[in-house]
Amino acid sequence: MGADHSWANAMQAEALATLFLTKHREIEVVSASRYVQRQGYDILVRFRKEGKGEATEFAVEAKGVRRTTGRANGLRIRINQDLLANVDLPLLLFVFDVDDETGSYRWLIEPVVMEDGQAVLLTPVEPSPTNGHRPAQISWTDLSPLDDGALKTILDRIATWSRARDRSPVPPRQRSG
Amino acid sequence: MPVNRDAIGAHGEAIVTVELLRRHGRNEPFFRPQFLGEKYPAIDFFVELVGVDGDLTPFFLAQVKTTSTGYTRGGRLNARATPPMMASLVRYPAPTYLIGVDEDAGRAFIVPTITGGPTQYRSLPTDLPLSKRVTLQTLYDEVRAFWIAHGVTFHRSAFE
Repeated sequence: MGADHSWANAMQAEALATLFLTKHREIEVVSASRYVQRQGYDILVRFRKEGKGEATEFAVEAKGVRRTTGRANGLRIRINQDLLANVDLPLLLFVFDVDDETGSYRWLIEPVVMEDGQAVLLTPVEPSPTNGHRPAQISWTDLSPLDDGALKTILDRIATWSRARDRSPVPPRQRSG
Repeated sequence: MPVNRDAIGAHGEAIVTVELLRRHGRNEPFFRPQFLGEKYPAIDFFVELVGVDGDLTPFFLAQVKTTSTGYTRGGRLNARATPPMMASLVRYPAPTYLIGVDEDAGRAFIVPTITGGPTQYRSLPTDLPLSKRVTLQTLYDEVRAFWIAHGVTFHRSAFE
């Protein structure tokens, strides 16, 4: 059996996520995984739309997979749902193929503005009340390509949600669907 | 306006980390880099070699110089290494290197700091890009050879 290089996948994923985000000067990142164990995410991200106003925050959980194993066998991402329950920020999952360094993403905690203008956070990933460590099954079809256009959409969405949140408090997180 | 900065920043750190972790078709990375934090005075990265047989875990130390002012007319990176900086690096009894980072292009280049070698750089050479497998392999072989030739182990302690 070969050596376990899961540390390399994790480290590469976080570095690729940081590299992607920090290409954009309005974005600041803090490695949450470096300073706080069991935070529920790897990177805390702060940005100011058009460089102005108060900073808005969201979080990123970065996962790395190898093309030879991840894509061929389907994707099995382990999300610690106990930790997710403690996160009250928009949270994205970034998945990087560590061989070709392409990225994909999906929401783990999704910022939504309801029809009545209420800002809510939704959890598309099914929480488990009995076994928080049951891995969430996320497949490649659940992910969207991560590129500059996707990032703009993400930032716009979070900025809109943040403005709505500032007008009224965010209720407890809801399950989507 | 682009400025020359001493602070490595998250972007510079990520560029170096990605380059050092790239596998170039191997099963494992050549290196395991650890960023030490901007407040550490002389060294930015502690980097272990991965997959070395035997009793040693060879490592090297690196200081990163980032710039967003590009290159000189001669193709060297517009980043400086001062005499005090070079002197502090060669004092370490381990292989030490400068890594010059072009922040805008996302490229990094490695430069050895050797006792008896240059005492400063007004700009950094770009002959050894970290993006090339041959650079990483040469670096790996060089650091491994250093520790095989000079490595000592810690035999005794007052705390035994």
